[in-house]
Amino acid sequence: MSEQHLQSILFKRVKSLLPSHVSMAEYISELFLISKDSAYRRLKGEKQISFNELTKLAGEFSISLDELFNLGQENVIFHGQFVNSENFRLDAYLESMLQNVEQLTKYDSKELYYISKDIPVFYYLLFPEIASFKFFVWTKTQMQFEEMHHRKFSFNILTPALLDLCKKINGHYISIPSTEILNADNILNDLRQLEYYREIDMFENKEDVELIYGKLTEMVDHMEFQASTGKKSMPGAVIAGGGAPIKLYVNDFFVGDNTIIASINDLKMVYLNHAAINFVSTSSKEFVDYNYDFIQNIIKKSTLISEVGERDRKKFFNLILERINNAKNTTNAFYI
Amino acid sequence: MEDPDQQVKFFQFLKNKSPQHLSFVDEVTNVLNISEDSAYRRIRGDKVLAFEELQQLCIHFKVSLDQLLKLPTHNILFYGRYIRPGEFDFASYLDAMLQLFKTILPLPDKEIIYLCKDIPVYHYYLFPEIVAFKYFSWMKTLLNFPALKNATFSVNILPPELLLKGRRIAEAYYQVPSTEILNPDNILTTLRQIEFYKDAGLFDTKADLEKVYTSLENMVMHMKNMAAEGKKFLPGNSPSLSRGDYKLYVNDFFVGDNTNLVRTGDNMMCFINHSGTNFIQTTDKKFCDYSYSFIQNIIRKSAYISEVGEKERNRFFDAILKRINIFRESQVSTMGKR
Repeated sequence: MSEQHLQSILFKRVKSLLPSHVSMAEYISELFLISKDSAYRRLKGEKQISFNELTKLAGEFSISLDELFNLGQENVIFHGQFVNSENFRLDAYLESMLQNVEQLTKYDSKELYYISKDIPVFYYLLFPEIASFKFFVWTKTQMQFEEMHHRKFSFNILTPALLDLCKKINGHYISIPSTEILNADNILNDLRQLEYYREIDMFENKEDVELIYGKLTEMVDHMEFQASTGKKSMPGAVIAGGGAPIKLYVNDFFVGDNTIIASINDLKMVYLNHAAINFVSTSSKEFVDYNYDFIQNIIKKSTLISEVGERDRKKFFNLILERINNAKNTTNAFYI
Repeated sequence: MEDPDQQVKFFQFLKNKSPQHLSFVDEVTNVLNISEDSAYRRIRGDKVLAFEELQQLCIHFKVSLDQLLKLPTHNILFYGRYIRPGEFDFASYLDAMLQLFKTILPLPDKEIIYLCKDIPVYHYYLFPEIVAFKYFSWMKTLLNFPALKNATFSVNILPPELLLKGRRIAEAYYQVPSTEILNPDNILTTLRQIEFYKDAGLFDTKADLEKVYTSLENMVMHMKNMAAEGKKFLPGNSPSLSRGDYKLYVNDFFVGDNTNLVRTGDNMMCFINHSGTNFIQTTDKKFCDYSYSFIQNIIRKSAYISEVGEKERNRFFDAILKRINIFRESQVSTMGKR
C-alpha cells in the first residue's frame, strides 16, 4: 500500500468524522498551523504528513494507527475496555454488552457461538437472583471494588437500573440464533463460589444461599427445556416460545474458554475472555477464521443434545443437577 | 520536520526493543531498503520518515503506535502465530517457546505468573508418557493434524526430538521464579481426555493407559514435592541446586484461563490462551497492568501452599491424586468393555 494511499485513507476517515459544514482544508491548516495551500497539498497527497502531524490528527479523532497500518496477519488488533470501579463499572459493562447484542439483532443473518468455560453469561442474567450473586462475586472478590470491601451479599446489589439492562440484554439474546458448546464442569465455578461465601459467612441472610441453589436448579432446568425444544425462550415458558433456534453440544474432551464468535452475514468477530469477565474483541480475518475453524472442529467431536439426543441430554443435565444438589448438601470442596 | 523530537523518540523506542546482538542501523537499513547514511538521517530526525516507512517499521518491530502515542482508542495489539500443519507445526511452536525463554533467562529480575485453567503445560514436558498423551490429544483432536487422523495412542508416539525440545523448555521454566495459581479442577480436562480416548478405543494397549495414569501421578507428586521445597527442580535433582523459586497458591473460587504474565524488571508481557493450545501475546501496558492487578486480587483470596501450609498442601494434592486414582480404577477396569 503506498504512502499516498494510506494518507488518503487517513484523510477520508477524518472527513467522515468532521461535521459536514466544516472545510477539511481549513480544519487541517488550523490544526497543523500551516497555510491553507499547504493543507491542500497534504490532502491531495502531494506532500506527506510528518510524524508530529500524524500524531496530532490521530489523537484528535481517536483514530487507530494500528488499524490503518494493517500490521500483518501475526499482529492482531483487539478492542476492549476493562471493568473497574472508576470509569467502566458494571452498568457500563452491561451497556456495552447490550450494544453488542442489539447490533446483532439488526441483521437478517446472525449467529452466536459460545464455547463455555462457565455457564454462558446470558443465562445468569435471565435469573435476577443469580445475576445478583454473580455481580457480587465480580465486584467484591474478582474486581475488588472498594465500596464492596465490607459488604455482605444481599439481593439489593441488583439495582433497578441493572435489572433493566439485564432484561434488555435478554430480550435481544433470545432473538439471536446460538450454538453453545457445554461441558459438565461449567457449573463448578458457581458452586465453588457459593460454597466459599457460605464458608466465610458472607450472606446477610442465610436463607439466600438456599434460594440461589434453587435458582441455579431452575436455570439448569430452563437450559434443558430450551435444549429439548431447540428454541430460546424466557424462563417459565411451558411451550417453545418465539425465540431463535439454539443448538447445544456437549463436549467432555475440552473445557472451553468462554470465547464467543458473533457472525453477521459474512462478517465474524471473536470475543476473547480474560481476567474473569472482561472481553477483548477482534475482526482480524486470520484470527477469526482460525478460531471459527477450531470451534467447528470441537463441534465435530461433540454430542448434539438439542432437539435430538434425549438420553445424552438427560444424562448431561442430571449430572449438573446432581452436582448442584451435592454442593448444597456438603461442605466438602472436592465433591466430584 | 518542524519538530523532530517525536521521530527521534520513536527510533529510540525501536532501538530499545531491538535485540542487543544486532546492529540497529543495519536493521533499519534492511527493513526500509535504504542506505546506511539514509538510515542515520532518519534516526537523527534530519529526514522525515515517510508514512509507508513508518508502517514497515511498526510491522517489523511489532510496535503499536496506538500504544506508543497513547491514542485513546481502547485498542490492544497482540502478536501470535497459530499451530498449523506444514506452516507452524508443534516443533516450531516449541522452538518459539524455547526462544522466548532464551531471551528472558539471562535477565536478572524475572518472574512468570500462571493463572491456571489446566495444569501448567511446562510440568508435562518432564514426564514422557503424559506429554506424549497431551501431544496426541492436542494434535489429533483439538487441532486435527492430518498425520494423526487414523492414529491410535501408544506412549511412544511422540518423536524423540519433540520430547527433547519439551524437556529443554521445562528446564528453562524451572530456572525462572514462578507463581502458579491452581484450582482443584485443573486436572479434570486431562482426566476426561484419557477417558474419552479409552472409550473411543484409541489406546493401543491397557499398559499404555496405565502408563499414562502413572506418569500423571508422578507429575502431580513432583509438583507437590517442589511446592514443599518452594523451589523448582528436575525429578531426581536436589532442590538446593535450583534457581527457580516456586510459589503455589490454591484458589477454590476461580478457575483461571491459562493467562501467563512474564515480568522482566519493569516490563511485562501477557500471554492469553485461545483455541486449545495457542497463545497470543501483548506488551500493552494497560492490558498487562490490568491483568497483573487482577491476578494479585485472586492471589489475595488464595491459600499459599508452597514451603508453608503443609496441611492445605496435602489436602489439595491428595484430592487431585485421589481423583486420578478414581478415574484410573474405573477406566482401566472398563477398558475394552464397551
